[in-house]
Amino acid sequence: MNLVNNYSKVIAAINKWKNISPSRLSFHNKDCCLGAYCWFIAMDQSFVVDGNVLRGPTWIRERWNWGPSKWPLYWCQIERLDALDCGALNALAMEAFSRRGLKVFPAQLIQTFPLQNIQHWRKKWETKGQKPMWILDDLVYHEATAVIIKDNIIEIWDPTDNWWILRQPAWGYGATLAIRINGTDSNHLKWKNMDIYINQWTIL
Amino acid sequence: MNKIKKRKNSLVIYISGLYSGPNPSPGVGIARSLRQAYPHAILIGVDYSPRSSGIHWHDFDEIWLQRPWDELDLEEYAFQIQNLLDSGAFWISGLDLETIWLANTLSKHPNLLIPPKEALQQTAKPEIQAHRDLPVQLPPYLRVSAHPDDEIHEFCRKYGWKVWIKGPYYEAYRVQTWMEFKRMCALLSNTWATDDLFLQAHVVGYEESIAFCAYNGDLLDCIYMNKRDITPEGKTWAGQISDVPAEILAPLQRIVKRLRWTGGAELELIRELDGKLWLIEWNPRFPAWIYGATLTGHNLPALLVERASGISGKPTQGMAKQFARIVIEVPVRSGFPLAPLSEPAAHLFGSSTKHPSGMPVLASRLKQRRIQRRSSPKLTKSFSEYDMQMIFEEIQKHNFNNIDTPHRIFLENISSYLFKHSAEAIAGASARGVPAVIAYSVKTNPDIRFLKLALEHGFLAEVISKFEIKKALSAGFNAHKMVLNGPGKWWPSYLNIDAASSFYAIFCDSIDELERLINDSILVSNISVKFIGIRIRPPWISSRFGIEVDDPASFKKLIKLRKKIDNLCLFGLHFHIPSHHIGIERWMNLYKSIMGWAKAFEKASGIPVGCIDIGGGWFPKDWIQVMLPSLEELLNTASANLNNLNCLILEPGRALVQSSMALVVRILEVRKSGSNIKEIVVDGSIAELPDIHNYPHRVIYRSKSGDFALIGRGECRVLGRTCMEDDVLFDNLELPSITQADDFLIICDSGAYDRSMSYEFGK
Repeated sequence: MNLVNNYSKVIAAINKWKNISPSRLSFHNKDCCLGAYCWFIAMDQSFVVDGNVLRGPTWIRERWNWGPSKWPLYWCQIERLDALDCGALNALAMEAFSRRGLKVFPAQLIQTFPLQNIQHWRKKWETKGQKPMWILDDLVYHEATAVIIKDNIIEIWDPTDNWWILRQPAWGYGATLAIRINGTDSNHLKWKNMDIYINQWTIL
Repeated sequence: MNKIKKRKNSLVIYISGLYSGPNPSPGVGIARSLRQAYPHAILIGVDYSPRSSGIHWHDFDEIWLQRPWDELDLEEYAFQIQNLLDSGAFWISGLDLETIWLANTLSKHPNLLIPPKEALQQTAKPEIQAHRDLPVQLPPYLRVSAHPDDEIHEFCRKYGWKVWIKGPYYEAYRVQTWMEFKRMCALLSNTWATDDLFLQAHVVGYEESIAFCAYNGDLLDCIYMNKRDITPEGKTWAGQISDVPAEILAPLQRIVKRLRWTGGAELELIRELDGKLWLIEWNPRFPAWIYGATLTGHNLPALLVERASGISGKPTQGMAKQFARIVIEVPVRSGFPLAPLSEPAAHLFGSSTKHPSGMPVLASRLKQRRIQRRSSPKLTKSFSEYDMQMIFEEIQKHNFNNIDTPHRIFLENISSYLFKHSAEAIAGASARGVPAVIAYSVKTNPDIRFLKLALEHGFLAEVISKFEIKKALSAGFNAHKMVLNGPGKWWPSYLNIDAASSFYAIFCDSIDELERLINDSILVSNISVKFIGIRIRPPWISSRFGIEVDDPASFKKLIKLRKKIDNLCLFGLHFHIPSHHIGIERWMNLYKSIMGWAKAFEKASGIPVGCIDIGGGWFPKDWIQVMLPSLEELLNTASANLNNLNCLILEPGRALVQSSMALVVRILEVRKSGSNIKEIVVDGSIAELPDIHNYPHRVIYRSKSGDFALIGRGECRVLGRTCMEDDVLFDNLELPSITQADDFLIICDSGAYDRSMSYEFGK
């Protein structure tokens, strides 16, 4: 696969996913969702054991498996679910970081995986009666949380894999190829010495 | 040596440290790197055991296998190495202790590629003095030999028992309890023949390293390695190599120059997400993963040899920026057949050898074993340690002449001080915010004298059974001054306590208990209570007590039940986690998270939380020096989170009583080895001191004639009177040389569970 091909594949993926908004959990405005939300926030606070609010909320992924979610998804539903998709996991992580007092932005990513992996994911979604709209050949749409570390410097927390995303130098297994960070009150951010302009896809 | 003679003009390089097991030495990695740059060099591997599997690696032309360190004549060995160096060979050591020995034994030689001894001193643990110009911090540490046991325990409490015990050379063990600490101390001390151990606080973050090579103070190359995979032993298994950031490189160059560093080195670091760096170790040799750096184009061993020899090596081409390690099998080298496995010893478990290069043996040869002995304790009539003066004054008043031992002494001035000071601190802090009150834990020490003190100072009584209710009533407490806790608070059912019908607070240990209280209408018909609440078990806490709130269904049910209570009384939350188990910092963070749970209850139910009960298990020193001074801040946090908070109950637990009692035991027998006292037998036992192994107890010696001494650390064991194998009260005391039968030991800090959980045995 040559570089030109790779580039045009990423462009095609961006075109496919450019109108997707970052996932958000819905709220019933009733006791059911209020209770679930209060429980979630208290849970997260319990895990800030050493007072370091930058510690990734790994407990979320330890509690929920990764799998298809039916949208719209309400706060009161999450406690009954075994699995959440990357958007739902990220909506929770965003809320956790934000309630710890950190400034966060939803990050949308395009990543690449081998087709033999993708086939399993496709089937997993289809078995649950859902269309895997997040897959395009060997590229996938993914969501994560951009957290301001200081000034306009961000790190990106991946709540599905429970790690801070690295900026890998090359196209390869699991590599992040493009990123869009959504926001309203900043122009540009810095991620691993790279300028990221808000609401624009950046090919890495 | 035939090959060496044949290739007379070649570089000859000796490389030591060939062990290639799960905790490998760097010898093989150095050889692989050098072979890449110098295909025709003669590489000679050096090790001290045929079990060091790196001797079979094909890049070595020869193996110079030595006998174990205890068989080596060190003078002869130094002479041989000196001759090799003089003949033009180079020596790169992959073993820390061998490096130290060589630096201290041989005079500086241009072919000896190790740091000078002054540089080794500057980079020795735990101070690592050379680090000062680098933008790194050292984790907090405490030298074990320089501090008494109670200060060591205090350090562990402070860091929540997230601490490592380390020796000066190799190995580190995580210790989580006092017993573990003592066991690992003994293990390290025996293995490395030193008492120069230190405790280091654990730092959470990402593991990274800097490796460099230098010659005579010139930094030749330097790389940064981010670990990407780590073995269970904490060793690098994969990593990414990158340039060293300029803010580290510039000061590192200056340090290397100042130290006149020669050879390889590795700085082990922990990085927090915000970039803060902690320096954990400065190793005076290449790391075992050094060939990983070579694969990325940074051949540090070759650069070192090139500078030392003046012979250029083949340029090293980088193949990647990342490396991974794998396990491979290699053919055994001809002439070095595998040794048989050691005979499995029936009294031991397993037969693996952890240190095949024999470093522990070298350690014991290098360092004359020295126990950090205080000279025989001075007999004195005054003590300067924290609160010891008060304890001593009180003990002095005691008549030891006709004392029936083992005998508990109630230390009135200590207990008065602790109760009074606590009451004043609480009164002072509550005057400015949420009212706070202390609940005295009857179970910790039900002695009537403590109960009276609690009553006098306006404390509540915290009780866990009807027996304790009765006890508190007999001491003068009204039921409405009692807090009921625990799973068996209504036990025994047959015991009727007429006077007890109106309690201050009841905290349920389970949802079932709360439901029973509400549904059986106990609250309405039989008793009234100001606060009813629940004990919660925070998510990451392992405990048999309280309601697990990490289950959202439990949380929902609690909200429903909480609404039912609303018309009966105010609602409360209780958590009780001993601060000495989880550490003070974590306890304080847990307190904040409990406020979070209280807020969640309020918000989800729409009904305010009226009371928070916080425990417990404070050590007296932490209570006085940390908890009480933080009280105002804690109360502010509470009122900032909970607008309708009516009361904050504090449970000091052992803090008020632990140092308020001492146990006097009589020495029955003194057992000597030569002139040293090895063991004594006393008439006390684990029956009177059931908590003896869980934390340090200070000990005072009193001779029959009335002389006193504060006892330090030594090698004498104190055996209890019973015939139980584990009835060893102390294993490391230093007793005065005049110690004899019928003298006394006064075992302090035994006023809490040592008293309340003591039992009749062998009497």
